[in-house]
Amino acid sequence: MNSPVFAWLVPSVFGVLLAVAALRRTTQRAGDGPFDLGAGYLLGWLVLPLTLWFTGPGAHAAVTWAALSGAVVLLWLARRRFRAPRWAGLNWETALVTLLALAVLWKLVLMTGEVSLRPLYPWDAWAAWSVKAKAWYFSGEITRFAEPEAWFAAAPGSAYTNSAEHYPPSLPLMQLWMAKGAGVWDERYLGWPWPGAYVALTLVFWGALRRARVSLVQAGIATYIVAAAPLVTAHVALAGYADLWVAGWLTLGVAALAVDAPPRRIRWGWWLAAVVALPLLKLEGWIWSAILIGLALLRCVPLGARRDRVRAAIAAALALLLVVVAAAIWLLTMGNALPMGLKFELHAVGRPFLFAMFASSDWGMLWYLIVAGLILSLRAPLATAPRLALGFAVFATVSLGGLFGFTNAGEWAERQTALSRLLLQCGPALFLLVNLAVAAAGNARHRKGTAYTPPTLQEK
Amino acid sequence: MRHPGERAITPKFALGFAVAASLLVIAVMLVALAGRGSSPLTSPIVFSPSDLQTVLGVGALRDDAYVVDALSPRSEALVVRRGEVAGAGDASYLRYRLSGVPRNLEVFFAWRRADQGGALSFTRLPLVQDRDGLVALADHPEWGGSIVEVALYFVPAPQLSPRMPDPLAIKVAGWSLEPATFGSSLSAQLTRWFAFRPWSIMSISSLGYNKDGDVIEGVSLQLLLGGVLVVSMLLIALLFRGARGRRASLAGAVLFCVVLGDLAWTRNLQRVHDLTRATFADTSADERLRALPDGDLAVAIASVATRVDEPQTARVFVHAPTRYLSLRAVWHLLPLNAYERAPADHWIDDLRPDRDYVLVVDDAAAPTQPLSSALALAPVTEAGGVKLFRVVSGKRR
Repeated sequence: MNSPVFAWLVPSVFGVLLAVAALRRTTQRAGDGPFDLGAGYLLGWLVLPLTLWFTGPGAHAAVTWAALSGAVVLLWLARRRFRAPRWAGLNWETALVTLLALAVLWKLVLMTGEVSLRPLYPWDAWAAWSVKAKAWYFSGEITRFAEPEAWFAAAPGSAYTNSAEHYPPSLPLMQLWMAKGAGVWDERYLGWPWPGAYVALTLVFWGALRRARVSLVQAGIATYIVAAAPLVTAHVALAGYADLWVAGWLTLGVAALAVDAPPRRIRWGWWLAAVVALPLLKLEGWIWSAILIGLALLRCVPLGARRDRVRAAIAAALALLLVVVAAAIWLLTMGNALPMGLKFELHAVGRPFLFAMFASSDWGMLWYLIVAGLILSLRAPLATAPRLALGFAVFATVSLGGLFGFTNAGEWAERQTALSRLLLQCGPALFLLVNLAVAAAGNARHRKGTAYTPPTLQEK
Repeated sequence: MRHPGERAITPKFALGFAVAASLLVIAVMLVALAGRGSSPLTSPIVFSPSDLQTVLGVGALRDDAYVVDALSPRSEALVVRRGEVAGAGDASYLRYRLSGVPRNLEVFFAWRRADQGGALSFTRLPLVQDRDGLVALADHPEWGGSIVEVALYFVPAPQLSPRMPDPLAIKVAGWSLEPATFGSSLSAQLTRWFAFRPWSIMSISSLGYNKDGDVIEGVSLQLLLGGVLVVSMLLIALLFRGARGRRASLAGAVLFCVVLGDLAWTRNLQRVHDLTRATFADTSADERLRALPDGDLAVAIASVATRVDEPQTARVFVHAPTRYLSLRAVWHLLPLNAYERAPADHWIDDLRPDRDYVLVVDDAAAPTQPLSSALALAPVTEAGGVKLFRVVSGKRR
């Protein structure tokens, strides 16, 4: 069946049903529904298009029908798990959140209109990503993309080349999925998964906050701040880059770690899925996966007693020493050639960072509030949410600072061609943690009067 | 439940205070930002529409306004007011009111100085329509002296579709040169913040830069709102220390700043989408191809690509003056197997006669020398400035 609508629906519905049915829960709490919808969408759009990598584009119809059959089974399994959302009744809180949701919805309409009318526009969308989808669509097979020398030496017609030949395949496979499903190469259909990714990010963010029992108003405003961030909306309207998907998966991974929603195996399941998914989306996904692993360790390490904290500090120092020694060995043995085609170079990137976060039109108030929330987190740095927020901030600062401050990628930061996109990848996840930390601090104050007690997220 | 020593403020009061504090801070910051400067000019110099004439394009005086009805073949229009303007060089601001300007056009204010020969100077005008826009001229290094000619120059915006609406009616309803006042300074700042911003290649990476990679605003709206947020939060935190409604008040301040910034962005998004709809809605595949920013290149390549024999195994090497054109050519050539550069020197001897091609784009110099003692390039076809060559044996061309 050649239909772009059908092609879009299959991974979306399959993923959501998989999230709801296969990862079953014994109890339902506020936020579960939106969280499952968002996470399922991301999962569906990773898994199904990726199957084309193994089967080839010719198997698109077979994969579609297999997914539909699976969806029927999942629907039967999940039949008791769908519940209509509870309406809390009209009061000023629900009215405010509804208004904010309508504002986001209007933006979504505009962005979807952009995606559905405009052929691919931003540079890397066609130069780096869709070039593969287009080659695969017309050649009818997953033809290899090789470095220029290997391409020149290859048998005629057996390889393509471009400067992004080493990029992961997930994004072009999503576009290949849409083109094969539509039965025509029309650039207006290629971007359809992006508005869904925006909705998924928003739902995961909102769902995670509500699952953590953050108040309706705080969750609503925080979600609105992420959904209204101009660069986030630009990545939907000008679909074709991977950063929005990375932001969605990273937020999902962080939410899985930070929110104590039962049962535990599901939480860790989503965390693991994010760790695996991120490198499949973008090269720097490895960095975010490593940070998710680091955060998992940080979450599990007991820090209640002074002896635990001393041990953790020693372990952190040893880990840092290990990284420094590994970097020194690398530089001594491999010279100036770093992974991913980078070179060691010093760049002063403080000013570009400050401009991108606080002065350019990219972020609205997001980074102002992240900084404020991190400062607030310092009041109880060992409680779960503040610990994760501060840990994430440190890991991300070290990673991005290292990437842009010590390698030739610094040029991209100085020219502002990459910095804000990297901030897009981690901003929503960090803002989620900051909100959890602030909410936990507020709850603790509320319970104990004005005396502040480090909160725990183990509350049921 | 109220705790000992805790004051209560009602949500209404908290929100009211947050909004009032934010507005107060905005007012203070706007006054500080607007500044005032001074200029020898004491009263505005108003240009009459009847003094205007078109040098490029077609225009006429109609209903007290000058209306451009058609652009030149290169989609440009130049509306000129000739003759010396006494005291113009002393002005600090240009006030302009335009309507009907297609959003894929850029508008420049141009002037010629008596002391600089025939050289024209330009400054880009932020695109605002149906209301007054102001731009600071005093900041421009070449503004001043004796101005002998002023003009408005309309030109297609690079990186946007060249497709123009039909019929066209660009209305120049008024323009004047103004002295430096608090009002004009403030209006110029507001013009910068709320002018139309189309998508550019940079938009996916940063919205704070224009297509040339220059910072759009000196002091951005975001910076102003960020300042408002920080000051309001500090005010609330200090004044309502220990009070129960403090969180609501903080939330109010946050919401106020976020919504204000979002309204400006969403309004721009709406206008960007209007342009996209006007360009691409209800178009055929062929029309969409022509409406691309590089539509000419796309059409030319679609034409020459049909002349490649054995497309499944052929290779095309692209020779273009810029990386952008080179990559666009590769994109348009797909599914032909293309490489974004000319063949590397050490590849020359291994090129395959009659199965490898070189595509020369735009003004890139067409190869004139044989590739090697055994290989040469033979022209195959040419369209729209794009030339296709085939690698052939021997030195025949």
